[in-house]
Amino acid sequence: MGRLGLRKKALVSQVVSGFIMLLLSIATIYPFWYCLVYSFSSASEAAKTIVVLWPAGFTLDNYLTVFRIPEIYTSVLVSIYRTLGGMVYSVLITGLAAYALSHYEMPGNRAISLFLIIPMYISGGLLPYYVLINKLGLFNNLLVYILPHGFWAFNMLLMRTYFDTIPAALPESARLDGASELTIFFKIIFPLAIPSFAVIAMFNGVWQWNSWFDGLLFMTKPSLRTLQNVLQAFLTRNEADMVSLMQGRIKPVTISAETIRMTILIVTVMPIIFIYPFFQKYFIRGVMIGAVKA
Amino acid sequence: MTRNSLPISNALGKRWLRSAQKDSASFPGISATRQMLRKRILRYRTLYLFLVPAIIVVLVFSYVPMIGLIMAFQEYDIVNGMFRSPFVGLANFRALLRDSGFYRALRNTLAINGLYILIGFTLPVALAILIFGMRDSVFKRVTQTITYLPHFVSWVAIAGIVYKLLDQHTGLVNVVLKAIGQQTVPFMRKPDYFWWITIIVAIWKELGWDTIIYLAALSGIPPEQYEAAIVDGASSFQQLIYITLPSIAPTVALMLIFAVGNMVSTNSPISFDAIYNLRNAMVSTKSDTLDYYIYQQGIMKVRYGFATAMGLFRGLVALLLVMGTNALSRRIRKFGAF
Repeated sequence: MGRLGLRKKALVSQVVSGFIMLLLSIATIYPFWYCLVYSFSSASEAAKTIVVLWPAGFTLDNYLTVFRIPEIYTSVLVSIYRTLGGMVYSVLITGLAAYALSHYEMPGNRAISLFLIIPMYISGGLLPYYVLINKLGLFNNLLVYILPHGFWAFNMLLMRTYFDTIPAALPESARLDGASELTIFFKIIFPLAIPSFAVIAMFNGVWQWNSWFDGLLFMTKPSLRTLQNVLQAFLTRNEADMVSLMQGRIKPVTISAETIRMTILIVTVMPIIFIYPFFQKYFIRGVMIGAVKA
Repeated sequence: MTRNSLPISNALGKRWLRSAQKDSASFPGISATRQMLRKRILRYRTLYLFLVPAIIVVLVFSYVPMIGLIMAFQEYDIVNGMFRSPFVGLANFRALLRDSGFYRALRNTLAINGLYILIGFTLPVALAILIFGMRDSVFKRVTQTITYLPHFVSWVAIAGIVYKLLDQHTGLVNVVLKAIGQQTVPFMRKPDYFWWITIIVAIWKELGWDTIIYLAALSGIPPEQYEAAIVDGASSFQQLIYITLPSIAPTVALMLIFAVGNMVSTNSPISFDAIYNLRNAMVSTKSDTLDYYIYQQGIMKVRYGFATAMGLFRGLVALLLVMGTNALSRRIRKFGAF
């Protein structure tokens, strides 16, 4: 017994853990997989058999139809615009603020930090915000997706924690060489803090891509809405509406409301899934940094 | 690590400094400390500029709406605006306390979030311990990464998947039920199912992601503790009870406190995003939380004053809860291994 028993026990626990993780991974992936195969299925076949693992009556008609809906194109463009624009805008504003506030000796640092952090706890709420956006003339204005979302207190704290790990001697010596603060920020701090910038950029990009409420609230013109809004509309539209919407483009045998819905859903989720592997090594590190401090 | 010495090296700075010296020469009355403060402020002037965009954004989009809370005391209409709408005192709050929809929304908010915390809170802790115990391998990393994925998918899409899977006629769950000779179930049309479906879906979405914070805490445990325990012949169960759990207990307590503290806030564990996308008119009695009710009354029914009053009430309760729980968490931090 003794040693061998212990080793056996350890092996059993490894196998059990692995098995649980495998089941969990399957449970995580399967719903997406189901939607994916459904989007490649022909409607009539899918109704006859049970779609489980593979498309029933493989077809590309759903995608061909979806890519002929004009509102898909405009909404994809709007979503890309808000994702990239919002990302750059907020990373810049939040990053600059975090860098400034990482100088703890700066007079007023505490007061400014407090001013910027208080809205994490207190807010005017939905209605005052709605009225403000209206008064600012941001209804049906593409700037509404970006302008309000420049500063994220939590991201600022995360970045500042990261900046604290950069040896003070580096910006110091650059300063002695006559570099301006802007040069120091872009030439020294930014390259050294790329992991934290990447994390913030990714969180922001994902948040922007997934946002839908502002499009719903502030945009009355369908052409200004995002892909999430279009997906939402298609998910809640009834069968008859959808058929009339796709009049002339629909082949009743292969396409149904269900297959179209699943296809738009996949189009909406795909960018996240594609970008995900490239970013995941950053976000774990970034979140760990935040976690240790928080 | 602070960057406190910031020598002024550029030309503009020198000019400023010189003029500052001249100033102090002509006004000898200025106290020395004020001069020093001014010098320090001058030293950081570029960095203050760096803060301007953030301050403007926060001022306009966070603080100005706070002024808008005045609407809670008005019979607000958008034509007259905040300055000409009549004040009605606490009438909106009285209407709120008489409103049965408000109590229903409060109940749903507390029930959905409470049940979620009750059922879902310990799962990520357990999963983190399980992952932590696994030998490092490609398999471990891949499966871990997969379980984080749903966190990054929008609630719009998640709700679409849920509706598809649970559809009474074409959804996989009911198709399978029918195939094994059972009755189909209208999952998304029966109010009584809503809480449970929402909770299960939210757990599925966030379980993997929520392990990260515990994994961070676990990786902070010094390995010597385990080595010493193994030398002393401690079983893996004993290691769990005497090393692992006590080490992460403060983190677990903090997370629990945050979750409870945020139950009524806009950062509630089950968000407005989840509710809005999962709900439908047929299940509204069980699905409509405070967030949703504010949206419905304010935006759809155009009851600005009433909805703002509800938002303010909710905000105050949430703030009290968060501050109370924050105070609690500070105590835990003091005792914990942080």
